[in-house]
This record gives sequence, structure tokens and C-alpha cells, in this order.
Amino acid sequence: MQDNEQKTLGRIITLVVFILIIAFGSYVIGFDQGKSSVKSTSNNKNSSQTVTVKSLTPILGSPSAKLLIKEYADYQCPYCSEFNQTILPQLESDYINTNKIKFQFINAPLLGDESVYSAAAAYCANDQGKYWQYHNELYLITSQKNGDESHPVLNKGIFSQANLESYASTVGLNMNLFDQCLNSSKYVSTVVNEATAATQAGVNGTPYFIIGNQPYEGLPSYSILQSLIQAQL
Amino acid sequence: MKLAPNFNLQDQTGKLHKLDDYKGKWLVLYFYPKDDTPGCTKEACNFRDARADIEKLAAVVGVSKDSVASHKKFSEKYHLNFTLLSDPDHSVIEAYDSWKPKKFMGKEYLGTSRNTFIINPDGKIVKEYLGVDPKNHADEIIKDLTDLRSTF
Repeated sequence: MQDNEQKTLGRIITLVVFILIIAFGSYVIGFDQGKSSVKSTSNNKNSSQTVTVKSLTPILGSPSAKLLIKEYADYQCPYCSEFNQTILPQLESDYINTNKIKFQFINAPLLGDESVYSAAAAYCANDQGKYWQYHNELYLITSQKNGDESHPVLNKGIFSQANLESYASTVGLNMNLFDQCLNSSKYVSTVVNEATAATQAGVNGTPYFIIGNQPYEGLPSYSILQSLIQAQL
Repeated sequence: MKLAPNFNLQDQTGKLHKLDDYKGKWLVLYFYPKDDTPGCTKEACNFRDARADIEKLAAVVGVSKDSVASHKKFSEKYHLNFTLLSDPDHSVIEAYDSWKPKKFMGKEYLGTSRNTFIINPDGKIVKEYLGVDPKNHADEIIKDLTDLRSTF
């Protein structure tokens, strides 16, 4: 049963990717572009076909906070998980809870199928108002299970459908609704579009931050992040 | 073959390094935007530097505009024993033509390009890699260094 569901999900992803390939001609959604996708886009005759997709993630913090930090990230990425586990909590207590900044997580699922599945599953959790609980659970799993940071275990089942369901049950989601959402692949095309949009925006790796108007590539230390924030507050 | 521009910069311990110090040796001088940028690309999760293997063939020196303190923290945090030079006013980065306008979401800003230069024992730039794609870079340098050394 699980296998069939997995296959169905796989087929749907393949179909969506296929449609995107047709839509973008030789520019294969950036997945196989080693070089900067900004460069690839500008060298490409179809560069006018920019994908825009609105992130569905809830923004953390007060809408009136002065500075917005966007994080482009992938649930399979161990450095993104390190950010979520160690730096985001400090950011929350020092800046988000004090209404100085607001924070938005944007999917950049660049590391393969399970990056896509997990991001789509997080949107299913969002349908039940438990986005952040599920998001934190996924990153907890990544930090515990995917091995050495520089050699993570990717696309080997940590975020299989069965496991995504078990994490959903850990955070107390309504499993009928969650399974329904996952099985319908409701958010898969949104998430695949987000991957395309991220690479088109110049995100070649994760995590990738935009602090106000300042881009920052990779995992920053908290002190670096603080200096980038303070410069704009 | 052009002469490599001189430099005289502090490393993460405060020690000054100049180009002349490397006379008689092969040197891989690479410019990178910022300390502390571990991350994941589709191909790999890493520091985007694979210096250890190259060090068997040449001295390897990284330059960014980060401060000496930042380099110190960076190398301590990740247990790196590489030489990282600090070029806060980016004069050396500019001398190597690696200080360039960058664009992100329509906004332009100036920053360090990921460029690498192989400098031979006579202090001449014998190979340059501009806009380095980190994924196969180490392998590429090792191959080229091996060839260059055999014909020097």
C-alpha cells in the first residue's frame, strides 16, 4: 500500500517535472545547472519565463516588524537544520519576539525527491495550523538522522511517505486529513515551482538568506547574522 | 603569463603573508566571498572548498574581505588549518580583478567573485579560474596542477 502511494507520488512528481521541462525548454528547472542560475537564465533565450510562486508558509513574528529575513532552505539540508535548531531560537528571543524582525521560511527543495515530499508535507501540516510544529520536527529528524553534516544521507527514506506520516503523528496532526493531503499530492507542484523560482532567483545552495536587502549565502554564525541585522535596524 | 600582483596581508593568527614568501613554490590563491558559509548544493553539502587534497601539490591560500578575527573564529569553529588572509579594504581582491558587481533579485552590489589563480614558482599566474563552480573545482585544480608541474 505504502509502496503504491509512494509510486503514485513519484509519478505525479515526474509528470510535473516533465511539464516544467517542456515549458522551459532546455532550461531544466535549474536542477542540473552547476553554474549560477542567474547566469543560466540570462544566457537562455527563454529567460523571460520567470516562475513566480507565493510561499504558503506562515510568517514568524509581527507583521509590523521593520525588517524581514527570508530563509530559502531544504528540509534535507543539515546546515539548514543547524540554523533551525541553534540560530533561529536565538533570533526568536532577541529579535522576533521583540517585534524587531519577522522571519519567513521559503522552500528551496534542491536536494532531490525527499526534499520535495517533505516540503509538500509541511504544507499539509500548515492546512491544520501546525506548520511550525511539523517544520521543527522535520529539522529535528534531519539533525538526528542524516549523518555527518558534510555527507548527509539524502533521498534514502528519512522523508519517505511512511516516515512523513509518522512525524505527523508525533506532532499530533489529524492523520486522516494529513494522509488525504499527502495522497492527493496537493502541494507537490507548488513546491516544485518553488524550487524553480529559487534557482531562478540565484539560490544555488541552501540555506540562503535575504536579510532586509542583503543576501547571505550559506549558514551564518549568529554574530554575523546579528551584525547584518543591526546594520539595517 | 602575467606576474601575480603582490600582496601583504594578515592571516587568521595575525601573521603577515606576502607573495614573495611563496617564491619557489606553487601557490593556489583563491578568492571567496565570505567566511562561515557552509551550505548544501544539489551535489554536496560542504564548505565549498576542498583544500586538503590540493595542499599536497601546492601551498593553498584563501583571501576574503573578512577580518582577521572572523578568519580566526571560522578556522577554529570548523577546525581548519588553512591559511586565510584578510583583505578588509579589498585592495588585493581588486588587484586580482575579483571585486565585481553582483546582482541578486535585480539589486546590484559589489562583492568578491569566487576566482582561483595558480601561481608558479616564478610568481607568474599560469592559470586562472573565474566564477568558480565549487562542485568539481578541487579535482580540476589537482589535474591542472599536476600537468603544470610536469611541464615547468
